Amino acid sequence: MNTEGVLAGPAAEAARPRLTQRHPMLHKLLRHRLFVTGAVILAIVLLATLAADLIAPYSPLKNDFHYRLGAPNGAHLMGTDNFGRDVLSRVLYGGRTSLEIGLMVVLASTFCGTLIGVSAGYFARLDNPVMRLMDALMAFPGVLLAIALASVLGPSVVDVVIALTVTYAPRTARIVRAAVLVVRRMEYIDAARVAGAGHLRIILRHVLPNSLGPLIVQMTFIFAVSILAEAVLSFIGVGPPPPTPSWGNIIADGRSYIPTAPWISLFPGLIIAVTVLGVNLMGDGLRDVLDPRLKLEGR
Amino acid sequence: MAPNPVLEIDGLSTSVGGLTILDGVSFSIGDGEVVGVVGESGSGKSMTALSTMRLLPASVGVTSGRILFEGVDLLGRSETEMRRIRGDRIAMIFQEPMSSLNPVLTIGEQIVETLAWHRGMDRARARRRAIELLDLVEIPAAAKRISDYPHQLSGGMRQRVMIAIALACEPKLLIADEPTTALDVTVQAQVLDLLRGLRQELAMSVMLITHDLGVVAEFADRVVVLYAGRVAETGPVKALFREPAHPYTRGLLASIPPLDGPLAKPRPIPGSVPALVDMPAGCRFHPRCAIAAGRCTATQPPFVPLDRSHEAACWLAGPGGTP
Repeated sequence: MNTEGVLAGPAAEAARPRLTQRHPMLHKLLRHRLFVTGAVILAIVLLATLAADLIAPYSPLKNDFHYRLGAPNGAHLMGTDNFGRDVLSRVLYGGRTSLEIGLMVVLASTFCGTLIGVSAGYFARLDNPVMRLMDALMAFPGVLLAIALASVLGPSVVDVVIALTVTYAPRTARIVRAAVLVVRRMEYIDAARVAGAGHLRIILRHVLPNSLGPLIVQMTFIFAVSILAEAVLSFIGVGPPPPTPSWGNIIADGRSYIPTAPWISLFPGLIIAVTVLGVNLMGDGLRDVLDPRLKLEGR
Repeated sequence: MAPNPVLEIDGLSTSVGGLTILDGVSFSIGDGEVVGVVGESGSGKSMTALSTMRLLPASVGVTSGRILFEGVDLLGRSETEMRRIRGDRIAMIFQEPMSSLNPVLTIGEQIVETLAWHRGMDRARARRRAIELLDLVEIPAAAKRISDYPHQLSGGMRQRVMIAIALACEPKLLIADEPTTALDVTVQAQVLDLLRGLRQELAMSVMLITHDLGVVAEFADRVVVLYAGRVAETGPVKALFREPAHPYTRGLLASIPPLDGPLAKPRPIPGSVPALVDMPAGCRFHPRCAIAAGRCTATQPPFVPLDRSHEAACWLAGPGGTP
């Protein structure tokens, strides 16, 4: 995702003629103002997080008991928390955990959801049993299911990822299935069969590549929602365990001090909001370009 | 019947949910021969083609008959064997060139895929062969066009690409299902010319499925007229067009407006193809037939031989025909 963000910079200007000539989609994306805005926001957040070792002013774990609950100032731009830890440093390092969870949930739920969705959409016999199971999973409110799973599995990054994957994979499966149902009836699928292709080759070469549009949009959505869900899980204490910072557990740590030291929860909260906004803008842009039928009027 | 048939369909019957669709369809296609299969929508043309490819929808079953391809019954082949045959020994092209190519792959990749699969060619060789094939189907600047995506080509060009893919492995039999229906008239003529030339060059047989009798007259050697899942009449193109023996064939010919002579209104055949659930007894055409009488309503007519390989399934056909 950050490659798009990077490409939106001056490098893209130089590369545009050759690259976008063959890829009109990319050209449209780079001209989509909201997409580029979102991509730039996400790129900044990603780069800052990845460069935390270089730009974080303090260790995220270093306690400074002389300077507990300190208000933002020149030395501590986002203030300090109840252990005197620098909030800015914690937010930078916490971003790694949060974005990593987001990315892993996207990958895992896309993989599982695609596998399930393609099977259900392509093989008519599997459709009903598989999708009814997915419906059952989707009947639980998303975050509630994640909370239940996370509290059973216990607090760790991997368990959070598993909980969120179980929650979001069925939604991905449904979207992939819908796309596959349409693509499956296309004449080029018949043409491939007539040319002697088997099911696996038809799925990998013809069905999947033509069903990617809605899936890509869904991936951005899951990325955004997972970052939010991580915060929710951390807030009720089933997120990644302390002292490792994540955006969610920094907010959770600060909640008892909101009247006296609101900056502890405020800054990571803002960063989450901005990041999710950026990802959603990218998702909207991708949707406009990949599925013109859904394009909102007057944009 | 043709000598050394490449394809011999013998008494093919199919049914869906207990209703008969094809009912004892028999015809053969000789080596290098073009056989036109004509009929209205719902007469069973496409079903015959799909049966040959063994790609009938799951709900349709073959109830009896044989489909001999180069002497071996295709109905007895396993799915794996059929996959080897499809696209290699028997190829097929469709009506809709606009949607028959995968939009996310270049046309080169789609040709290469077939060659790599059936011929085990490496990419470089398959690519060279793909350029040859595009040349063969008369696509200008083939070496450049090979990396185009389908949306960059016109309908006629796409149909040429479809033909190139179909011909990639030099099939013995090409099934062309309405290959020109979706094209402009001028492009139609070009594609037919191309097919005619290629058929000679590659010595392949063609099953040409169409409802366009003009295309048949121009391109086919023999015609099989299907009506409601049965063969109504079959014979060499010239004989069949000059002396159509089955009232249905006569009706089809009469429904084409004449290009020369006095301007006359085309005379359509009254009524429409009967529904599967409501097949008339006897000759299936009798409710729409102007001369049906007596036996026509009760007993299925046999094939009446008229002259060399021309026969019609009609009680009234031939010199001694009586209802």
